[in-house]
Amino acid sequence: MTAEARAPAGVPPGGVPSRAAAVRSILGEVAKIAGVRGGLLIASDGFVIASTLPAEVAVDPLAALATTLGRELELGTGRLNRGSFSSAFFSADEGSVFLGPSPLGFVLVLTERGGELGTVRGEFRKALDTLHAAWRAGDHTGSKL
Amino acid sequence: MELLQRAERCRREGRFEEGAALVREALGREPRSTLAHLLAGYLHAALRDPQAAGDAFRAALALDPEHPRAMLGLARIALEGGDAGACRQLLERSLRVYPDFPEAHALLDAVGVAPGVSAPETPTAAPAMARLSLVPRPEGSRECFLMRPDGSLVFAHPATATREALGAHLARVVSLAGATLARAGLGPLRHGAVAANPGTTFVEADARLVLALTLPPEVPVAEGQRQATELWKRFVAAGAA
Repeated sequence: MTAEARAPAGVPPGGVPSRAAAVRSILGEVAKIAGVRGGLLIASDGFVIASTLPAEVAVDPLAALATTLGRELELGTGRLNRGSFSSAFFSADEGSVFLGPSPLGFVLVLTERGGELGTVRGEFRKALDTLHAAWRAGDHTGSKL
Repeated sequence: MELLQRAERCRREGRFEEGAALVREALGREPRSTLAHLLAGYLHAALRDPQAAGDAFRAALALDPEHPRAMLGLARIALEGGDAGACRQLLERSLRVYPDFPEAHALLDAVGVAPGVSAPETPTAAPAMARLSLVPRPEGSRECFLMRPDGSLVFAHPATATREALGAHLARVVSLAGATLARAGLGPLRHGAVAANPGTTFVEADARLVLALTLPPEVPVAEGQRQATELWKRFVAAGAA
């Protein structure tokens, strides 16, 4: 499935943007930061809800790994009395991965080598906060999504 | 079927509880629907309820013992429970049925080197621990782990009862992070930082060693990363590699 196919238009026929659309919009804004290649919004079962990653990245296996990593961070910190995990980043020679929990699952952002990590980190944390606020603003059952 | 289509739409839109309610209704009408049990598994996993998700995936497998996606769902739950061996077996089983299963291949790459909950020390660990304990750690350090990529501890401070479980958790994190970076085409893991309430854990890694240093939350990330890199160099100079 293409990234486009995973990100259906967020404005329903009634014209009111849904909460899911707001969440996708936040991911879209993160993807515009200099040095960011794109991102994923992944449910905790590994399902890709939205993607802004370039077509050459195989999204499903990356999402499977990112979700498993996110769950390990969530469960490991909890089990070992290390509080709750709020965000993580991991870097390699060719770029970095940012990963954070969201009410829908996890958000992953990929950056290029040489990207301004401090800026991306700040914007990534803001995006996670906005996601949580957007979720709290909606109906807990999800019926306003 | 219409109920399941609506449930799948809910899943795509992140309305997991609503989707789970629709699947329950569908299963009430058709309890032997493999698809409904599978979708129930996905939705419970999305709701971070591994117990209910596991029950649903097992129900799907009871109806279709060769269902690779149900096996993948159970494999993930096994890994969450710290059972890397069961996870690996389920992934290998799913790949026998569906050899080109991308998610199963990706997870197997990570699980192939990820340890379980035990992290045995190497026979030479005790003298190494004593020597490395003399290496000065950054002021305010809360925890400091030096280990092999397989999770075996080289040095741990403080020496708590949970250090092996913590070492195994860190090794799983490092293994999964490395596999994620590799899948994204970025190369092997070099550095990392995991922020949690009590502090940020900074990671340094190469093919032979992993350092995890937890510093108080008020330490800026760039400074914490610098301190971790410096500590890494001191450990290597002290013979840790």
